[in-house]
Amino acid sequence: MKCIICSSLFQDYLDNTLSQDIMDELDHHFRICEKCCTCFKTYSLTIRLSRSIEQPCCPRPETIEKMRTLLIQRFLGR
Amino acid sequence: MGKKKKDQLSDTVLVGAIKNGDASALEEIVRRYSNKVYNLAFHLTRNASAAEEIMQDVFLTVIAKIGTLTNDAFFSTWLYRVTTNASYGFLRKEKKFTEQTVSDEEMDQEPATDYEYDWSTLPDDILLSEESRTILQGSIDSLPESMRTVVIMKDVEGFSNEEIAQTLGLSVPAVKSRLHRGRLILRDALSGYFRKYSQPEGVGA
Repeated sequence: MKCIICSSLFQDYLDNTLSQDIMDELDHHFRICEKCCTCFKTYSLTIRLSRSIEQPCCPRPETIEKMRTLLIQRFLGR
Repeated sequence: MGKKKKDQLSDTVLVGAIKNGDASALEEIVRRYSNKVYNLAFHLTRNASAAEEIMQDVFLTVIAKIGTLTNDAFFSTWLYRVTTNASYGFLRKEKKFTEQTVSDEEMDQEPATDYEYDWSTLPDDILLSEESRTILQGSIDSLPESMRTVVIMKDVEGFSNEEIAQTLGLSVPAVKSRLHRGRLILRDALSGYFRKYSQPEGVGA
């Protein structure tokens, strides 16, 4: 497997949407190609870190209540 | 509507009920989606008060236009599309929105990468430090808009490729292509930042 093909399959590998044959080929490539192996590890970790920057945020309760009242008024007044 | 509790009903049933004038169905939809709409708007605009305004506008749009929704099963992706459009509208008004178009050819080109240093072995206190999160957030903010939205929806908000494709009116392969390239750009930014840890202590300081 060429390195450029390997890189293009990272997403599908992580999403577990590849056939077993291709998965085995990729695993083999990772064992013999340090460059792709490192690239894959840092690619996966980038996704994990992106996930971690999500700050649990939610609208203020008073905003929700105000909006709920407005929406019901508008809805019933249509 | 039957005796089933509102929170057990599918979106399709609730949307049908809203179209028939059921205010309690609208309340359940708002309860179900307000945080998701707010979070998506917040991550796209990076502005909490704008996200609250957008959330309200989105649900007002639901009331005004739900009758035009032809397939009730696609309600959530329609709702997210209204949210992304409202967020772009805000960014345009604030002049923070630059429609950087990326051609398919450019999309297929992989960015220059630095494979030499394996920073995946660094400890979590470095990987998850405030500084590295700032670098990553700044890099996400700097991505071309077409990639940024996809990366935020997939890797920050956890949407599926199919949901993103439906929301943004793209094919799934187009979503995957933007996502892959965006991730490679972010990975390269992090590689550049973490490289300082590749040298033994005291060397090159």
